[in-house]
Amino acid sequence: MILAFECDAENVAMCAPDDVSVLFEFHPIFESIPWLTRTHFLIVLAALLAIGLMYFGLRKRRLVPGKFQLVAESAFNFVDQGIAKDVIGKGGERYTPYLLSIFLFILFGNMFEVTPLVNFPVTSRMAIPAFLAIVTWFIFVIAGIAKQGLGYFGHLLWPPGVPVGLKPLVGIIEFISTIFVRPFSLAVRLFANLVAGHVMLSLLLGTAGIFVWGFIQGDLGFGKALTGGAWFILGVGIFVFEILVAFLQAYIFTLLSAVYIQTSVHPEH
Amino acid sequence: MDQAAAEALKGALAVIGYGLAAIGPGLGIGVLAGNAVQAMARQPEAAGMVRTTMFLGIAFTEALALIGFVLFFLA
Amino acid sequence: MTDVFLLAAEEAEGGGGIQFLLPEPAELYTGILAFLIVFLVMWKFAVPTMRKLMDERQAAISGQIEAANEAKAEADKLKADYEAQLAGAKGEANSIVDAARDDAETVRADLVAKAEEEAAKIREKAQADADAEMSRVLDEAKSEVAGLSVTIAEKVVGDSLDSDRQRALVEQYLNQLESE
Repeated sequence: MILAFECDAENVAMCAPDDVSVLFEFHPIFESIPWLTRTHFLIVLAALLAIGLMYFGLRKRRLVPGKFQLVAESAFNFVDQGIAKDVIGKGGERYTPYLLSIFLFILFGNMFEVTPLVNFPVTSRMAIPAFLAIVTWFIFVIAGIAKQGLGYFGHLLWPPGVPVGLKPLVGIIEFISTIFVRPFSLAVRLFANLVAGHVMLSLLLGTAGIFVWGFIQGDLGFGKALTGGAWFILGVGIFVFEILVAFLQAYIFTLLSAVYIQTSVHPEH
Repeated sequence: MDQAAAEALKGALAVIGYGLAAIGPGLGIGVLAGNAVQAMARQPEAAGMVRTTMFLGIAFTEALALIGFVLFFLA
Repeated sequence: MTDVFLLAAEEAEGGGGIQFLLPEPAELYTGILAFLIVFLVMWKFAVPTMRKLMDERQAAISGQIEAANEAKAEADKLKADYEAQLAGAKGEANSIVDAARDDAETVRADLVAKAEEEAAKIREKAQADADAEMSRVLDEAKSEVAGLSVTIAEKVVGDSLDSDRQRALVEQYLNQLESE
């Protein structure tokens, strides 16, 4: 069983399910616990990997770092220097724990997409991106209120430095964009990228497997095997691309969280 | 009307709708990233600021494509 | 017909569509729990430990640089000491050589003086010897001459004279000659 759905391999160029959610929803591991699926296991595993990297990287910490420590340190410096201090500026190091958490959690969640035998990014389930986007929303709104008081919303609705005639219009756009579009786009961006990647990879590689296997079994003709080979080559190309996407989306989510926090903490920029 | 045909038509329309929704953001992100690269090439010392602003702009522009993506599933 | 229609509609509603976009509650709870644990670990353990580590490394590096500077200063001081000692030793050696040269000079002068003295002594002695010899030869020759003169005179005069008186006469004459 390569794909979870029936495929009319004789008549189609590529197997596709009628409903895309069969690629994302799994049967329960135990029949008695209907909600516990593979996804839960992978979410916890992503968290454990993030914790494990830091734990094993810092367990025997030395001034001259070992391999694990070097990886943990570069992840830390990447977020601390490259994102927190660089983007937020003064006081940015206060947000390093949160930014490092979301970066590592999303990174490991994404990397499951291109991990052989796992091949399922937990960030392609809306639960993770939505939750993290809402947490980021709370952080930047609370940071804005802490910095500017309730004038934070006032500045959004009545933006300074804009001609008076345009103020209501710009204010409404700004308010909607900050309060609603930001968390929405943050969550959907991550979700959509990983969903698209997962669909492409599973359909291309799954179809390739079915066609080539059918040819070997003698059920399908040579043309189908060739088509399967083409899908496989394309799938491998996309696989490599998805490794980049997995990293880039984790980076962009973290970077945009930092940028949003920065606009709240230093509104003058 | 045939139920299956209606479903297929709905799916096809949703795909076309998403394709249309992706045109604008695609062009916008292209222009935005191109100009950001120019700005960084002209003033490499401002690269950090340009990059941050570029990502912010991409985030705004991309929101439209993301709304299209959501509507594709809602359809 | 109506039943089939309803079933199809229900399936479309339940399977895909907006359901796919909404977070599933069970996954949301797991995600929240997992993320909170990650955040707690990062907040309480990883980031403070990392900062401590960076500070320690900074302190260690600056300490090492300081220690290296100190060691260099010490080495410089030692070098200066050695150079001073070396210069002192050179001066001492020079003075020793000078003293030795002075000593040698004195010894040489002594030796030369002694040798000259000796030579003078030898010369004096030789002179004295030569003088003594000359006076002895002269005396001998005088007495010889006196004897010969007496003999000649005897031969001439022919034994007329008392030999002793004649000798005394001649000697007196000769002494007269000498004193003149």
